[in-house]
Amino acid sequence: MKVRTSSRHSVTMGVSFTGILAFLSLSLLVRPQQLHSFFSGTVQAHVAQFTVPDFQAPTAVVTLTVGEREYSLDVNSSEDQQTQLELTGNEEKSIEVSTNLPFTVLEIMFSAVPNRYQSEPCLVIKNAVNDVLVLDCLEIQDTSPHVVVVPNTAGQDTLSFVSHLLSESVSITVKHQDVAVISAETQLELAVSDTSPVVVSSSLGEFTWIGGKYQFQLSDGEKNGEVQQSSIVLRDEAGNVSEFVLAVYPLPSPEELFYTRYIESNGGYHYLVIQTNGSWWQPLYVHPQTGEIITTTTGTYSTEFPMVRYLEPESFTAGMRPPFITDAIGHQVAVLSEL
Amino acid sequence: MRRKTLIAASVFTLFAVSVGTVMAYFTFIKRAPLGGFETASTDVIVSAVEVDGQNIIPGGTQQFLYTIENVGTVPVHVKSQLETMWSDPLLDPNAVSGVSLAVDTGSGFQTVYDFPFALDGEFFFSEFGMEDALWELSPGQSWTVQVETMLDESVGLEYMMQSFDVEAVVAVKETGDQVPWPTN
Repeated sequence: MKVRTSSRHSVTMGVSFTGILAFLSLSLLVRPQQLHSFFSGTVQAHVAQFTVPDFQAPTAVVTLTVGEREYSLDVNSSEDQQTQLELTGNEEKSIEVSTNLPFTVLEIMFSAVPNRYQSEPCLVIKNAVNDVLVLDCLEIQDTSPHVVVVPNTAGQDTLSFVSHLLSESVSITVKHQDVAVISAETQLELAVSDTSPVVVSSSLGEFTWIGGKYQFQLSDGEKNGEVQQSSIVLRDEAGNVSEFVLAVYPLPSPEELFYTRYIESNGGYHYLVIQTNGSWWQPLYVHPQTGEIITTTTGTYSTEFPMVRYLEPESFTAGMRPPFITDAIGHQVAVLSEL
Repeated sequence: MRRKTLIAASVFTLFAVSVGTVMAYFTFIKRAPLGGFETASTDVIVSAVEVDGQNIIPGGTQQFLYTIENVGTVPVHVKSQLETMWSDPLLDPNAVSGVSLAVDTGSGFQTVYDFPFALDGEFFFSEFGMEDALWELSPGQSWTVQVETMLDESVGLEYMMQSFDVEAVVAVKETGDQVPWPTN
């Protein structure tokens, strides 16, 4: 009897401890929630809206067709294509050139006037066919930048520069590979692409004879020459603008090109003298009417700008003093000694 | 005998009615307001300062502002996150990033971020946007958040004519280090 009682008692005690422990455990588990409820929450609201506008300027490809030869120029990629290289001592470097257009316009600047005898010539520029520019150091008069125009030859892919200098260096910048020369037979076609209708306006039809501004006096003073610079402006509905500056020169046949003149788009100008068979040609006006065309559909739109000869060509003979001549505002400009 | 019975019943009835009337009590319950208690709340209102569509071009920046007003009854700590959506869901939300973030707590704008940051990242309202030394937004107080964003300059034409919406998700909690942030 005693034993049973003792046994019962111990069992009863065991249950009590377990219960207490379980209660304490549960109390600890639920304690944070039971002792304190926190206030918190989330709110969401629309706070801004941005719209990405039409930010792409119209793209255009201008195609000039002269007889069977066709030049095309991507208006939008014609910007910021300047390549620069520097040569010191005896060095040879090459650049890739586009033969899509007939010229590569370079700017050459010597670090110091190499007016003493060195290995002559001190700079030779050559294409795949022959030497296109040979500079004698004794002829170099200054450290100003000089513009030279190098013809591109069909099939040519590089233009090489070979220097023979001592301590001097020469920097060469490719200013343009997008100068075209057109003739009376040139047909100009413009392919425009954009996501909205584009207004194409051109100074080609609005050009007036500027007179003194573009009158050039050759250094030998034999005859004035005139050059025209035109532009085609493309504007889409969002106001994005592409502008293509076109220097217009008459030339019966590009193959007969000897010298031509070149005008910087910023208003500065250099000689780029055209001579064909001893004849000098006046500029040609293109599209005598106001040239404004509105494309009504998106995608590609093409039109043609008819060309009208403005003046009869005048013939005269010009004497050149290679490698540099002086233009009307005192710039010395290199011309090609041989093509 | 019958008469006796009738008289006895009448006397008893008369007695019962008389005694009941005498024993009636007057009782009532009186209620009077002694004051009340209200639970605290942590409510905030998030408002856009201006939601009109603004143009943003590649490489360009644009600002937007929104306010957070504590309309609750206790001071709160605040964190925020921005959810972004292009009108074309295939476009990259990260094409728009944050350039700077500043908060006006009442004494002028104070810069939190002045370096590029992901818009969908969580930021806390404290000196450096970190979860320490959080600022307190008092009841009735309002903060203005100013975010400057930039559209990546390398985005393609597929981003043209698309719109980009920003929603602010603001989480608040009672002040106190042990107080957890809301989970949703």
